[in-house]
Amino acid sequence: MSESTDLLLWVEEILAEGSALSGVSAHEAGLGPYLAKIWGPSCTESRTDALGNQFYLKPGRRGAGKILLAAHADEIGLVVTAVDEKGFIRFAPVGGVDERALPAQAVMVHGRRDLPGVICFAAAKRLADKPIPLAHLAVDIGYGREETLALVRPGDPISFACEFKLLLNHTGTGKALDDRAGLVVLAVCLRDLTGRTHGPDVLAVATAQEEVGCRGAVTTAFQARPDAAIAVDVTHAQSPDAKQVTAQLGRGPVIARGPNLHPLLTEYLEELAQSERIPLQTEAIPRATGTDARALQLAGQGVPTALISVPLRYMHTPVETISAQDVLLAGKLLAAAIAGLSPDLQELEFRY
Amino acid sequence: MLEKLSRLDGVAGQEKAVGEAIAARLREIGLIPETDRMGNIIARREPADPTDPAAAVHMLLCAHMDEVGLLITDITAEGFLKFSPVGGVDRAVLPAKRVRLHGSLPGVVGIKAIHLQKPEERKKLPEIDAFYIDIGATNREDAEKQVKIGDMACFEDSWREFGSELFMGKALDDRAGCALLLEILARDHPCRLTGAFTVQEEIGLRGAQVLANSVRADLVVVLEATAALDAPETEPEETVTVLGGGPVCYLMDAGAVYPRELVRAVTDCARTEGVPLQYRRGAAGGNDAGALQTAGAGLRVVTLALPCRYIHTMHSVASREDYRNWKKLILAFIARQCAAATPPPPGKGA
Repeated sequence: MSESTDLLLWVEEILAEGSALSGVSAHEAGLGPYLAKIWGPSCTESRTDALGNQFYLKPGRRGAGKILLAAHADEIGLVVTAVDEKGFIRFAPVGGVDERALPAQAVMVHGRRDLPGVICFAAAKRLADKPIPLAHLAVDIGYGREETLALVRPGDPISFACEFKLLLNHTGTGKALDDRAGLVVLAVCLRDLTGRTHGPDVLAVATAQEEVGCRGAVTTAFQARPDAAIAVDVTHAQSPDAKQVTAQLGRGPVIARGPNLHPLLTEYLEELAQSERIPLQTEAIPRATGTDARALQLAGQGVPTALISVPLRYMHTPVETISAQDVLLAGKLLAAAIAGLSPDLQELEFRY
Repeated sequence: MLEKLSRLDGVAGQEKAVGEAIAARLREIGLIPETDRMGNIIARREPADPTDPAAAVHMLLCAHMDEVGLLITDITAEGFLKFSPVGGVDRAVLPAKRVRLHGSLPGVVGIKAIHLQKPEERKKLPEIDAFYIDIGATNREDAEKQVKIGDMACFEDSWREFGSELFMGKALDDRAGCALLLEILARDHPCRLTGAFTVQEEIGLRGAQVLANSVRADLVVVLEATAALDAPETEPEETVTVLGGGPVCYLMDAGAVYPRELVRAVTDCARTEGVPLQYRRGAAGGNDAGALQTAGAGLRVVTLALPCRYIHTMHSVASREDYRNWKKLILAFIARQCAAATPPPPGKGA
């Protein structure tokens, strides 16, 4: 088996493992052991801050600056708001949840213990052409009101329960690939850098609360004071009902261009992809991106920031779909970029 | 057995895998399964004691093997599969779900990401012809290596025990009936029993229509799973049945008006046995009873059902307690129908 086949199998394996974990925004702590496993072996130290950001350091040569790689640990989900008279759990969305994708979805309620359930709806109130409104949806965990009240409290997170599965052509589908795919990209990068010399320190961060407004990235950049930052997230891939999207699944990672992204750092990554023969797609974003890059760029006196994304279909649903090949290539690109950086990041003058 | 049957794929017209599992179980319990040319499976159990007067009674018990699903109608140039529903599938439950073709090839029903939807799109459910299945194929040619137009996609199985003695899974309608029928056929009864596992119930009782051409019986009992609409925001009178309320006796549906004396016999039986019983509060929908009642010179039919939440979705929910009571009721009902055929012992008066 070739080295790259081996690596692809590893990527698929840790994507599956990451997708299975639950980490609804502000409840990312459960990802700790997973990060220790996929990032830890390449790093010398790790810590967690007050917001739940998890930092892993892979030191470079002393005094050569610091590059921050950020992928968010959290996933969208639901939060318990009340238990009704029949024991059904009422909920509110955490992050951008599409209510049309909720009916009959299997979920896990993270109460005093993990409680499997299913999202139910008032079938008797169904209107033919209308989505079922959130107020007519609830989670059924199969207990009556008293038992439910003893197990579940308002504020408990609810995650989707949908096991990761491989489709054809190294495509994978599951929940929370936004942004467990990013965590895996960083794992590939760190593993690839192991045994290679690189100038700058690499600070890998699994940021908290991206889905509710990039809050983890704000405190991350404040503490890390990096010389450059690269956010690693997912972006929309084309599908039959979204033909206006340019990025395609399986055609390589996507680099973003626009005011949120530093032109020279972006150009550097583009050139590197070309010299390393890594296929790279480009997306244009005319505003602050919906990723950690929007917060990272604004830290301190400003941080040169780039955004590398893995194309993904059906974002924010339990059937998010990506290509393991794209994930692998994104990790390789990052590693090559870091290994290729000049010994002193500050000398690069990613400035205007 | 119910878990095993729920996990198998058998969209109407493609019940083979379910039929094979049922036939294998029938052989295990010493019966000889016969398959007709529609795919219905029939097994006969002779009376325990042929000299017992009840041995002259012949009851037909019926459960359907098929489930709702999706029929592949087209493959797009980009390699996505278009489909039509087979049976009653509410398109509100289709977005962002996992399906499976040929028992093993996974796919997902995609939906445009919320970020990309226009405000007016969010207010409408997509029409059924806007949906598609993604199997990860790179284009039409790649997809055609795996899938042909006319293939069926089934909801992915999701069996799980949860809550207070509940279970969830796909196709509980009517694998629950199949599982119970197998349990009943594994026992001795005073009367002659025919068990029929029918096909194509979900698209208009088509298996039962063929069964009706050949089968004769004194009484037909249809074992079904029926809707428990006791979800939030539902008025009590809209619930049809409730979970945990016990087995369900049909009064009338779109296909049959159930004979009152049989409904009364079921009611008496439940009372005597101390089994909770609910009547189905609603006359919509139908089942194999509708096709069987007009067989030959006509058959008397009764439908006894398991209440089931979220029926026709990938996560139907039913209760172990309801299942136990359902079984108890049907066994007692068979015994009482047999006893009614037995003349009182001599000397004890008429």
